[in-house]
Amino acid sequence: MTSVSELSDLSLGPAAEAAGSADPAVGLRAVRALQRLQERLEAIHVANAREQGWSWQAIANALGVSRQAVHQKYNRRR
Amino acid sequence: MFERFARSARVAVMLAQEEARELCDRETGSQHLLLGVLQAAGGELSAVLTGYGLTADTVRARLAESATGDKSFDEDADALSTIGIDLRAVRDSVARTFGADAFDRAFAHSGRRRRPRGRISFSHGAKKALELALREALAHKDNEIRCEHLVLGIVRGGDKAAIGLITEHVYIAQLRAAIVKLLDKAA
Repeated sequence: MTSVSELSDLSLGPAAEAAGSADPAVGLRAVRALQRLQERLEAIHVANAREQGWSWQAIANALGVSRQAVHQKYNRRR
Repeated sequence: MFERFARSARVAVMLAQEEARELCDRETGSQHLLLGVLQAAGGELSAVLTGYGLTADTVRARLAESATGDKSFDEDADALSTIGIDLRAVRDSVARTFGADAFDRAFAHSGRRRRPRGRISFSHGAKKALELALREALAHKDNEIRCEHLVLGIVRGGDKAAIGLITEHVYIAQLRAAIVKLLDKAA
């Protein structure tokens, strides 16, 4: 079982310390990696939503963007 | 600029752009030029390149590997760990819900559009290789740029994107000598 102290250790480990890193290289690399992760997760979940029958409008609403934006990005004719 | 290119060299350049697009790369680089030449080269040049194990299939596989390979995943995992995100945990969680390869194949599976069609600009390294190909043609007193000159241009340009792919199979000096020999023989 995970104790409360272990949990706080996790959240305040080296990770949290570096979140405020003053080295631009570290910070920017993290931002870029986060963008890539965001794109990837978006693709996975948009595909899943479509498979479950969600409309482009519903997906757009959930993502907080326009229907057209989602449709243009993901509706590749195959 | 391409009016001095022989038909096969033109095809090589066109294929290079096509490969860059297929690999979803931002620019046509020297590595794509190499890939184009490997497909467009005919006869003796093709035999020389294949003899070293330099084929379009092996090079393309290598490029595809490095594009989606573990290296970029590991780099991203390191970068994200600095802001407290465990990328491996994210990938595991995606795998549990959507299947083992869902994370890696996210873009292929989603129907996300590829880059718009059209010409992808040449990287600095590719431009240099093309210029040097012209110089190689002039130096060998050839009136058109052929695939042989393109290879020499790529090699002399020294852009690491292409050089790394070549040196996995053959020393640069060795490849260069073999191609110069071909050109001398034809002259």
